[in-house]
Amino acid sequence: MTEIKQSWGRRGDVAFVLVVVVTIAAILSAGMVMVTTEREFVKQTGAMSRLSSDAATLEAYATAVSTMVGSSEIRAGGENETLTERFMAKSREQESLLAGSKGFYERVIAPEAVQFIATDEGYSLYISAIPIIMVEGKHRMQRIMNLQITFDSQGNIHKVYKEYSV
Amino acid sequence: MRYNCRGQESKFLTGFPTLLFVVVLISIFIGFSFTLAATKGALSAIAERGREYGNSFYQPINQPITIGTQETLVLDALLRVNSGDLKRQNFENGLHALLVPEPVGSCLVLALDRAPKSEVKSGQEARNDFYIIKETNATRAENFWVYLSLSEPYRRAGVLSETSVVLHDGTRMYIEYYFGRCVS
Repeated sequence: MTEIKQSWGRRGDVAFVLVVVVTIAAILSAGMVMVTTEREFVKQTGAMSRLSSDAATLEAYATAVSTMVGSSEIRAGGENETLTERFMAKSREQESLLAGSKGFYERVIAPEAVQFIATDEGYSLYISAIPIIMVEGKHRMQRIMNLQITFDSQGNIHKVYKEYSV
Repeated sequence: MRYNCRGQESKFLTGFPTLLFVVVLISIFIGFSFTLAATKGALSAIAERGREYGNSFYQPINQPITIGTQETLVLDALLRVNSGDLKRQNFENGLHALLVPEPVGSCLVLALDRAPKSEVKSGQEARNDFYIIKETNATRAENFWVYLSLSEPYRRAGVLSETSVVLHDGTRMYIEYYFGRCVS
């Protein structure tokens, strides 16, 4: 009877020891995964931050070029019906060494992407689906931006609207 | 039987807090994982509409200037000076025009370099640095990072902004700039 009781107690001890061992293993593995993930996250954060900054620079560039050419064409004082064609022709003359600007220049010379019209308040320039694509190493950031700029009748910038789609 | 009950109680008293601790730890880990997953998704799906443009639009590098007969952006012209496609003097002339509507005592700083946070340079190294000063009846140009007496007050005042751009060939270039009242 005593032998049976002792055997029963040992089995319980084995189970308890196993619980402790599994617990410690689980804590250690979870900790290792957390530490590894965090380090990888810090690395990725740096790359993503640069990509985000580059994308913002490219967006500002696209807006600045569109505003410059748009204002210039309004001030040139040609016919309103030819605004879109004149905008596309003038945009074609611009030269840029900036990475990612190629996508923008391909859009501003595509007739289906550009709409530059006279409105009651002044003028409205709309450029659809400008690709903002930045790549750094294995990281890539891509946005598609629709840009609308409104000008007053003198060609001064009134407002800039940006809309993004994935 | 009494002996067994005590054993069970002691096992429970030591085992339960340990298991509870494991559950809490795993919950934190799962929560952290979901946070990371959410961050990845958000970066590619930013949506906004009708927001007026921020300060980056008014940076001097995004201002239009006229080089010869062609209107271009300061950024494009600066990169062309760096590539040797545009003469420094022609670019400087375009920059002078930017200061014409500004009050006397206004300054424009532009410095392009392969490394961030420029330091004092030789004349050759500073070939892409520009410092334009609006004086009473004229504008004057200097090489910004060649003279510590010029650049140091700006660095000390912390007014220099910096941005970086990536060129077609993958090179990253850093641009320090300032446009406002001269700092001395």
